Amino acid sequence: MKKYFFILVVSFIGLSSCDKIDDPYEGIEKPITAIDTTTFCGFAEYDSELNDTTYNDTTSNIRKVLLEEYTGHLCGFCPPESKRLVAKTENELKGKAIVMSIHAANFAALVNSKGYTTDFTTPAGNDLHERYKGGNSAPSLIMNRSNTPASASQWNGMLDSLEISGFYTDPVVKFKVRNIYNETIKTGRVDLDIEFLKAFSGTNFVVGVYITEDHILDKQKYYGENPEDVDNYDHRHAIRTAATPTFGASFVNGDITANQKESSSFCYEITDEWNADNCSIVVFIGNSDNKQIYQAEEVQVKSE
Amino acid sequence: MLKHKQLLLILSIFFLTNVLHSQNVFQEVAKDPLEIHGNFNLNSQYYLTDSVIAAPTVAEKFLINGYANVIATKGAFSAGARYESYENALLGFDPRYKGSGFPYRYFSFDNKGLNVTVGNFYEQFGTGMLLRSYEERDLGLDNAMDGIRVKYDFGNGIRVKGLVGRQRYFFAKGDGIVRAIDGEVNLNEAIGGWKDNKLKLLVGANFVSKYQEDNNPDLVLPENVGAYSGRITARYANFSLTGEYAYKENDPSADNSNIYKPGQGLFLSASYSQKGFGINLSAKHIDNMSFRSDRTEGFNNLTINYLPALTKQHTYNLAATLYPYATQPTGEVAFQGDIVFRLKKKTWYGGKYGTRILINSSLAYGLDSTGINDQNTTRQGYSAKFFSPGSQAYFQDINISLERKLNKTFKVKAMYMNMMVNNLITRYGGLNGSFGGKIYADIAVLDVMYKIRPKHALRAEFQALWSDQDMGDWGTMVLEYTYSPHWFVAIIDQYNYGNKVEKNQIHYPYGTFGYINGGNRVSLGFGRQKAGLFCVGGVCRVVPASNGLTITVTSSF
Repeated sequence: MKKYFFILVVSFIGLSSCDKIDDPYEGIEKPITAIDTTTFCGFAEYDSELNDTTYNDTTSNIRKVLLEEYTGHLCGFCPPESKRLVAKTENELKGKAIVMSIHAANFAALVNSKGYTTDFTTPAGNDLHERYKGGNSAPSLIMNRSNTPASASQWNGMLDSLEISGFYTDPVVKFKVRNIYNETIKTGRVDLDIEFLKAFSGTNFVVGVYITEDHILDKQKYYGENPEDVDNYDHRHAIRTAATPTFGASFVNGDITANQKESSSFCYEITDEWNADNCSIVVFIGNSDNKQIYQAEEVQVKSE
Repeated sequence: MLKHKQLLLILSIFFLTNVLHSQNVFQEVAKDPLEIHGNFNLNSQYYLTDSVIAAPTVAEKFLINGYANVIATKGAFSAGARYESYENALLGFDPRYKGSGFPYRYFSFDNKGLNVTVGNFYEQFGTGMLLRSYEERDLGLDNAMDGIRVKYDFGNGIRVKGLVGRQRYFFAKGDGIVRAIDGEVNLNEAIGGWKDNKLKLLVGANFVSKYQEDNNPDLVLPENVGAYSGRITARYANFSLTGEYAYKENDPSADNSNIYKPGQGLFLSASYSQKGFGINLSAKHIDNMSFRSDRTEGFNNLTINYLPALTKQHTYNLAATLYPYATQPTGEVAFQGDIVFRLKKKTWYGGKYGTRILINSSLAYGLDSTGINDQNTTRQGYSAKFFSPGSQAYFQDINISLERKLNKTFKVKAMYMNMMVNNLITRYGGLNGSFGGKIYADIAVLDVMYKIRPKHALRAEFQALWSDQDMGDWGTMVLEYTYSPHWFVAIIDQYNYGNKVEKNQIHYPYGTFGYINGGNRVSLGFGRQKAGLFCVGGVCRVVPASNGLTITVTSSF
């Protein structure tokens, strides 16, 4: 009888060892400072309650890596590498990596006679190619702007090394990002609350804000396909513009204490040629001197 | 507050003094002989830089993984330890395996149905869908528990075991505490009159709970996560059926992007066998069943459970290393069927010695799921239909093999495999990078064994893989000469002759030479090894390309 009682007691203790959470946000203060409803990116008396205004916010507690992939619509070896990279970030690195595609250099040239008539290049992409020269060897990849462009065979190893090194679990900066977008004026504003989790000495920080567009269907050379000039290739995460200077706008300089908090806002516009439903804002904070990036975050222009 | 080690020591002493004193076990044990067993395993490699195959430069040049187990038993008592040395770890192993030490040690005793283990131990409940603590050295996987385990056999077909502990995390321990209890009843033993029943029934149930502190400022995380399962094994004459259903409460983690959706899994396997014929059919549904004692971990670290793979584990080089399949713990629906039969000997179709035929097929799909936009509210993430394959096929393998002994000196095995792997899921990488889509491959193997004369045997393998995707066509040839019982020498060459990128049409030659004597085995190898995946039971490790000299020593006593 004692034995069965023992089993019952242990079972009861075991069964009680389970916490059911109905509200993952219960008692947690929502991030972001109050919305300024008096002005909005130069539009006076902006009404934040307009129906076509959408809000989207996100907070990153882990350290995210910004992956900038050099590609081009004439780069026939690029599509499988790009797909692989995006798949890895969507599946294996869920929420830990942000991808931007840079179309630059020869592989992004226009060849009207063969139907390559869409210009995916951007001033920001050209600047990035000018500095890191990744466009000449596409597909190539830079991580947090901290390496020379790496060829595709190295990507897995690089990303796996990040995981092994504990990179993702060691954030030095915490981001809270809120995006407000108004469809009527095709204008949006990104509000950032940034908390430094570690102290820095004599570091000049910059913040960069980019707009990317996903799922652009357009022509792409794709070796191995038949025909190899694919008409409606799904271009992923292409840089459309930078709302700040390419290497970021000056943010805070000098000595930073741990837990120091700073805020800033940036405005952007979505052009008629882009599909706002597929556009995202990529925000990063980096070092003004060596251009390396400490933290990045991504939020959609329009909430789903 | 007592530290974990101190607590272990006190509890061990408590158990020992109580049980040993009352049963006077010492007197009985004194009569039993002391036995000491163990084994040793050294894997080492001297690395050469080889830019052609993208083999990285290794700063240390020479790396080793070494292991030594010693187990002492005396009657009801058993104690053991394992010494491990990574100076530094071989390429492809997590570099956090660094240095040397004793990460595994235990003490256990049996006394009238009670078995107590303190220290490290491995354990599995049922299929392992909720708890499997095990070591797979070649994967760099060791999630041994460190704590206390108590088993009790009531002697009437009822067995109970419970455990508490933390899991091994390289040379340290994980943050989370695992608590688990399992009960199993053999109904034929437990119910009077069922002993000789032709229907044999075994039922079991278990509960596993983990505790990890919530230190996330932006989410309310469950610190205690519970999971439970029930299982049954039934046998009747030549039929058998095994099934297990598991349910896991909300367990937000890095694996599932911190969603709070409960997880569930179902595993079913039915088989029939008779002389010369056997068939097995298996199916499983896995939905959000990643279960780790640290919610922030990845790779193979701190896994509490094991999700059985429903794909054939190929042994021939091309199929085994190019496109193996890893179980997808976030969600999959999979099926597998095996048929084995023997064609009669001394018939025109079976040949003089008979012919063995194996047919295997496996399919894995994603879940039939619908996304839920509740990221800022309940964070359920998605809903999925139970046991309904989604539209996305992850893996498919149909293969057949025939084995026939032709005469006293020749034995032949032929095999054909047709595979599809969805590389957006499996994510194989190679010199060409990674192919972003479905890879279709046909693989053929001819394996011939020729016994030259007594003690002397020559074996040859000819393998070919044809694919229009990824790295294209491959060929592999293996020649192995054995002089029994001590010596062997083998050469292998893999050739990616069909790679569309001309510079990647590379040979991977590798030679090995070895000596075996009783429990000792020493082998030397030299050459290129291509990058790939190494998988055991659906759990995989990335193996980087390398070139150099390998030295392997194993010994057991």
